[in-house]
Amino acid sequence: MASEGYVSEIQISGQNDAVETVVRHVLRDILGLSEIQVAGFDRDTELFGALPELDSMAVAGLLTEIEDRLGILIEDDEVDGELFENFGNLVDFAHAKYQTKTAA
Amino acid sequence: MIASYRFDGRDELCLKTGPDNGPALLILPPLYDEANRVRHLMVETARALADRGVSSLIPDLPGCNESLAPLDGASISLWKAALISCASQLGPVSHIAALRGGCLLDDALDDTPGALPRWRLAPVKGAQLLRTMLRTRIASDREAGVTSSSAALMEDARCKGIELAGNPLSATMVRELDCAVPAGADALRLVRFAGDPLECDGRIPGAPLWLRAEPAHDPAMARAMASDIAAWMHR
Repeated sequence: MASEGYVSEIQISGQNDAVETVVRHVLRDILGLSEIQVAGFDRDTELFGALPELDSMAVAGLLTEIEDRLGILIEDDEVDGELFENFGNLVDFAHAKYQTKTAA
Repeated sequence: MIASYRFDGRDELCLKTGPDNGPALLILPPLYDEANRVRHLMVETARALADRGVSSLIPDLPGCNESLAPLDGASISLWKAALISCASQLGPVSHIAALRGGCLLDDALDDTPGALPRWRLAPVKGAQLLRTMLRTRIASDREAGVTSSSAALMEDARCKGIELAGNPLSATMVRELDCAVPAGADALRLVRFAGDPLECDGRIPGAPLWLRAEPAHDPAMARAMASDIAAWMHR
């Protein structure tokens, strides 16, 4: 039987930008974007407020999915408007959480 | 065709497709909002299975879809009991295919643990589904100027139940969902998407449509699921 979850996606790809790729892929899956569209996201790409599909339900799903794929835990008080202001903020946050986890 | 099964004093609907003779595949869609997002996919998969000679059942769980039962009376154990009624009235069921939260129910028909062969795509823990729903509640509380936390909401919900993302969950449901995990199985085929690097028993093209903010359908994915399931059942 194969193991479950995405936790080792990072270990398998082993690239520096693996965390960013995971965040990109979660956005792709939630917003229904193509690989090319989501590859066009840069640090300044605005998220919450700029993408109508990204409502509070979608944000909730996005956080749980990032947690699952990176094997991290996001606390309630870490989630604020700033986090979803742009793609760069979200990636930085995921990076920081992932590093805390691997350092532990 | 739309069949029905009797459970808890009500008729619950069940989509029945494929040849009328022989055992059927029980299809268990995801739970709550995720079920709505993949309804089209599930029905198209059942139709594609019928084209491949496979009979299948997609039952309404009490409180869900067309069911008139109150959702706040539902629990994981009640849903499993409903599946037993459905299988005994509309079955026999020989195999089970489940997606996401449906995998939390796919041991319902086992006489001995792990007995029925099952096919799983993207199984999820109940606690993870609760977590997402709690987040929508925290976000709406925040918009209303109320500061809430998952821990405090859960503590209350375990005793009194809670409404999350428009779903009234009983205290029993909260407690059962919180610790529900996909059961171990003797004959399990775990399937993943083609781009997923992780280990699995089979791969299909497609995308996690249950995550989509705007529901969408993927006919190729429905056909791929049906082909994989049919080949697995005929093995």
